[in-house]
Parts: sequence; structure tokens; C-alpha cells
Amino acid sequence: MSAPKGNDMIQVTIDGRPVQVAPGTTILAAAKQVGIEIPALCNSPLVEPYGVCRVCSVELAEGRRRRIVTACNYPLQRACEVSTRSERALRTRRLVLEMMQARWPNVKVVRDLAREAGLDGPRFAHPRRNEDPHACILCGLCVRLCHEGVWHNVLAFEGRGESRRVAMPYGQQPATCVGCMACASICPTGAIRSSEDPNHPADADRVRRAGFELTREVVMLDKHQCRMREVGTAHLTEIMNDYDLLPCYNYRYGADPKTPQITSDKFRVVFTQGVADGCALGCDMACAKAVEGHVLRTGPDKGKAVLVDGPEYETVAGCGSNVGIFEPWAIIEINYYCDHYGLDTISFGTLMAFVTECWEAGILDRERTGGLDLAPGSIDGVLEVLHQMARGEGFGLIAGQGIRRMKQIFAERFGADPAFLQDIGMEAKGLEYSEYVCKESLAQQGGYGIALKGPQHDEAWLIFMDMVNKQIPTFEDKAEALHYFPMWRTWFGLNGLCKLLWNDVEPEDNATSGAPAKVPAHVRGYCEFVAGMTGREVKPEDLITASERVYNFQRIFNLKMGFGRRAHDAIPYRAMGPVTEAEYLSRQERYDKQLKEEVGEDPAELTLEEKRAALRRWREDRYQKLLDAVYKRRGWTSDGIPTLAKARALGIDKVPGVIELLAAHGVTE
Amino acid sequence: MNLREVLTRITAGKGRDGDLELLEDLGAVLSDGSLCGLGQTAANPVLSTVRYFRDEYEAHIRDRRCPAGVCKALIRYEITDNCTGCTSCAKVCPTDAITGERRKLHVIEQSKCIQCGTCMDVCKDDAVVVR
Repeated sequence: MSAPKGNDMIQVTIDGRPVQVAPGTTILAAAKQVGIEIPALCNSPLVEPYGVCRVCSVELAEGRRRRIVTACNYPLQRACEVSTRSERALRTRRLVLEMMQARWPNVKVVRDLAREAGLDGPRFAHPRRNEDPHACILCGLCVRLCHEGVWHNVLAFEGRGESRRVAMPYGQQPATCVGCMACASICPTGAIRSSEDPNHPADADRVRRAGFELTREVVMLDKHQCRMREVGTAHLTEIMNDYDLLPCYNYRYGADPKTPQITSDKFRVVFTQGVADGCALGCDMACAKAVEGHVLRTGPDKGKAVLVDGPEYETVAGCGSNVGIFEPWAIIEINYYCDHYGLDTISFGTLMAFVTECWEAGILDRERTGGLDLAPGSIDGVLEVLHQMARGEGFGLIAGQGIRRMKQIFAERFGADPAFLQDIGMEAKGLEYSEYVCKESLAQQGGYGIALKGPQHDEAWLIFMDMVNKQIPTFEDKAEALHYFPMWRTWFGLNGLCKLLWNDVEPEDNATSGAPAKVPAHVRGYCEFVAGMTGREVKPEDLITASERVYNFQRIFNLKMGFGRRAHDAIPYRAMGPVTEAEYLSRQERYDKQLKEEVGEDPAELTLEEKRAALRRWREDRYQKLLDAVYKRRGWTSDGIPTLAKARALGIDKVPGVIELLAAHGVTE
Repeated sequence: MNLREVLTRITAGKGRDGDLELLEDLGAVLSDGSLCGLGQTAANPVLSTVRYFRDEYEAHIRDRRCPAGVCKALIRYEITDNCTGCTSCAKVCPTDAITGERRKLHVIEQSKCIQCGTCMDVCKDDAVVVR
């Protein structure tokens, strides 16, 4: 964080000590800067200041005016003097504590602060005296956390004056309360307890401690990190564009001058649901967003105002930049109809990107598409194909079969070059690619290519580690990452958990954790979670082993279904490097440099054709070497099949038919 | 609330040492530390009476005496020699605390008297006094 310029800062004095602070800084925060602790009961970094306990009262002198203010929520605006220990301030604090002491004599936080303030006992009786050491002191932390942090509004104050108390609507636990117990975790007196836990964890407190740490990070840090609570995953569009990773025009390019038209700020203004919503009730990250009142311009619901769930980053990239569409309304409309028809926006976006490139390459024309213009950026054309797919007619019947079949159809019926189609058709194992350009990250090429269910980054997203932070330079490093991360990410699937909370919010000190990409503190947190649920102590390695067992079994299952060998881990060249001349030229400097420094060819002496061929040979060879390294690390044969020893070590060999299946593919002792 | 309790205690003649300071403390902090205008001004009547009639507060607490003759717990009505025995007071007394024959001195039985002051109001001879 950069400090504001000197003249923007204001000079205040706290207990005689000068402090420079930015306007708007609270007295409490300013005092902390010079090591002055002001006691406070209702304050927490997780929620906005509230000023209800009055314990942090201090005396403020501005000019000739002297008055008592609460330090937690008083924003400093001009030069002034603050006394935290003046007679008037101390008198206020003492009496506030005396009143609390009279009402809640046995609550520890009250007793401690009262003792600190030099109080013996209250000079008066309180009509609502409560002897319970865990009595609620009405600090409102739970109410505010439930409202501001968890976004659930399950708790509120009811009643006034001395009848005020924390309550749930109609005195009953509402359905929207998922029992996250964030309220109990932040309660300073232990006044909130759960009545029952339907999941019967072995150690409920341990589970909650682990969960609350994530809540704390999301509530405190997300706004400074990924802003998922504000814009969901849509913030990625601008980041990917900046790093040349945003798929544009069927993955030909990683950035486009028109990207600013579809960045998160364009969607934030139409997102209406800043609430904890239907993705997972109780999730503090609440990244799912929605657009309300979108008036449809096409299709069967034309003219209707609808609610659209999304769009998320990959919808924006897939149905936007990748097909050359840079209009938010069109992306929202495609998003709506994909949901409406039960289609996946990633597969649809990627296959339409392929179609638009085929149009540009002259493989498709109006005659072949039934009169549709499917040039990149053709909003009407793309939407019409979507409607045709749903109706089962026209060109939609062809496009709807996906890229793998389209490649066949275009070659057979339209005489297109199968090799070109293979190069630009972004699918592997029959599944369309998800929305990241992986040309410059060998590790991510493997992350996509080796993924069991096809090229989605659910198993491994290594681009930044590989390309930006250069943390995995060698084949062995990349293979290790392609062992660890797919296994780790599989663990989330096994437990029905979302990965976003693992690394889309990071602890404050993650950068110095030794292995920031793994977010070690969170891995330990998940171990706590497992141990708390099951009562069995687990180490991070144990989680990986659990995944490895499932992952290897899935690979063997793929083998049974005809997809589990090296040949199936092949990827299109578009995923590895520049297919067309224009692509090469657009990043010529980068490719020439690589030819010179890593391939050992002098680009000055080669024609463009030769340079492309040389780069391709080198990159394709590296991908094969990567496969070798990954298979070796995973304990697989060079054909990408788990060895018998691996199957035995994981206990998969006991599953009926596994040994026979492996033997049938030449894997024996 | 605490202010009222302490005030009530003082007017009932049960004031304690330190009550005056407590009133001042409560009043000052209530004015200083309250969020709303009501809280900030609620203590003003108490604070200003403590300021201007401090001796009266002290008389209540130390001498169990109400110099203004208002606090019922601290006063007693008595009938002086001025009484002509007209019986007006005995007729209006709601608790029949006043006894005495016609044209003779009347007497107030203190255990029955509720310090309502009605006798004083009706006495034409100013024979009822507060002590």
C-alpha cells in the first residue's frame, strides 16, 4: 500500500504523540499506529465500526471545542488532539464499564476491562442484573457479522432500551441460517451456542474454528484481493487480458483492444445480487452474481425481462472475446439462453469460436450455414446457432455436436483440410477447452491435456506459477506440479467442496509461506476440518494419497472406456503455439526470441514458414517430454497407464477387473 | 435509570455517602457519552439542581432533612396550638390519622399519616405545619 502524499495527510496528536494519518482514519486505528491500545468491546476488523459499547470513548480537542467521542468510529478529518487517558475520558470509560459490570458482573471481558479501569464493583444495582458468565453484552458483533460478513441477516436486535436483545425472526431459526456459527465464533462472551449439529462432527468446535478462519479471511481480505464478493469471477477478464491469456478469436490471441468493453466494471453495474445466494447457502465468498431485468432481444422469450445467473469469467471469455463479441448485453443474452437450454457456456463459447474461425478461413459460408453470417463478432449469427441447437434444426444440428464431430463433418462435407481443423479445433478427449490461452505455459498445456475429463483447468491451473512467477522451470518441477495440483484439486471434488476458498482468497502472510501456490495455511485448515469431522488426525500428505487413489482409479476407468492412454492426452497445436502466420506475427518478438535463445535457430536466417515449423517441432517435442516426466512422477507407464505397482500401492488392484484390464493393455509385473 | 434510582433513594431519606458524586458522574457521562440528543440532555435537570441546590442535596443525605418540605419521607405534619378544634382537618384526612374533640387541640397520628398535606390545605388557622 503506498502512503498518500504528505499534504494529503493530517497531523493529529494522541496522548501527546504526533501521528500522520490519511483523512478518514479512525482514532482507534491512528492510536494503534503509535502503539496506543484503546480498549473496545464492540470492535472487530471483520465488521464496520458501530460505536455501541462506548468503552473506547476518548476526549477530542479540535480548536477550543473539547468533547468525548468513540474512537472506533470517529473518522479523523483535520488536525486535532486526542486524549485517551484524560480525566474526562477515563471517567466516561469507567462509568460505562461500571454500568456493564452492574448488569453482567461475571462476564470475563467486562470484568477484565473493569479491573483494568480500576473499578472495584458497581456503585449501583441493575434491574436486569445477569449473573451468567456467558451473558450476551449486546455488543452486536454477531448481528453485524451475520449481516455484513455472512450476508444472511439471520440475527438482529429486537426491543429497545434495557429490553434490547439479540434474536432470530419470530424467535426461530430461519431456513436461511445454515449454522455457520460465525456469530458464535466472534462472540466475545460465548453467549451463542448451537443446539444440535445434524452432521454429528467428532469435534464441532474444531470444524468451526477452521471454517471461521476462512470466514475471517473472506470478510477481511477479499475486498483487497480478488473482489469475488463484489464482481464474482468477472474480475479475471481484465487480468487475463493484461497477461495475454484471455482467449480472443478462437485462442489465436491473448488480448484484444476491445477487452475494456467487457471488463468487470461493465458487469458490476448490472449485477444486482450482492447477496449470499443459491450457489452454496452459507458460503461467505458468495461469488455467484446475477443480472436482473435483462430484456431479451432474440429467441423464444424475446421481449421478456429475465433474471440471468452470471455471467462469470469463462462465460465472458468464451461467449465474448473468444467469438469476437465485445458487447455485455450479448454475452448476458447468450448466458441466459445457454442456461435456459441446458448448455454449458464454456463448450458453447469454444465451439462457436471454432465455427467463427472456420468462417474466416473460408470453410464456412452462408450456403453451408443455412444463410447465417458466422464471422467473428456476429452476435445475431451466434445467437441464432444457439436457438437452432435447441430447436434441433439448421446449422445448429451440426454445431451442437461439438468440435470433435464438426472437424469430421467439415472435412468430409466441405472439403476442409483435416490437419488445419485439428490444429485449430480446441478440444481434447472430445471436450471443448476452457477459457485460458495456454500457448506460453507448458505446464498448463499438460494441465489441460492430461486432465481426466478433458481440457478444463479444474485439475490444474499453473499458468501464473509457470509463466509469470517462474516457480516451476524444469520438466521435473512441472511434473511435480502436475502431480500435486491435480491430486489436491481432486480432493475438493471428493469432499464436495469448492476450490475458490482455497486459493482465491489467501492469508495475509501467504507470500512468505514457502510454497505460496499451495496456500499451505489453507491446506492445514482443511486437515483441521477433516480431523474435526472424522475425529481422525490427518496430515496434508494423507489428503493427497486419498485423491491419488481416486484419480488413478478414474484413469483406469477412462482406459476401460477407451480414453486412458497417451494418445488421448494429445492436444491441438493451437494450445501449444501459433498455428497461423498472423498468430506468429502478432507475437513475433516473443517467438523469435524463443527460437534464438531456446531452440538454437537464428530467426534472421529463416523464412516465416521455417520459423513456424522450427518453433512447432520444438514445442511439440517439449509437450511429449512433459508427458514422459508427468507419467513417471505419477507412477504410470510411458503409455500413460498406472503401473501394477502403483495400483497395488493404492489398493486399487483389489477392485474386480482392474488387474485384467491393465494386463489387457500390456501392463503386467 | 440509575439517576432516577439514586434520586428516589435520596428523597426517601436513604441517601448514602457518595450518592452526590455518583449523580454528578452519571450525569456528566450521560451527557458526554450518549449517541442521541435525548441522552445528551436527559441529565441536565439533575446536573443543574446539583449545581445550584447542592446544600439541599446534602441536607437530604446527611441530615435526612428536606429543607423545602417536599420529600414526604423526610417530613412530618404537626398541629400547633393555633388549632381551634374546628375538625375540618379530621373530616378530610383520607387515612383518619387526625383525632381530637371539637374545640380542642387535634393530634396527627404519625404512623397513619401519609403526608398528603390535605389537612394543611383545609386548616383556616394555619395550625398545621411541616417539620
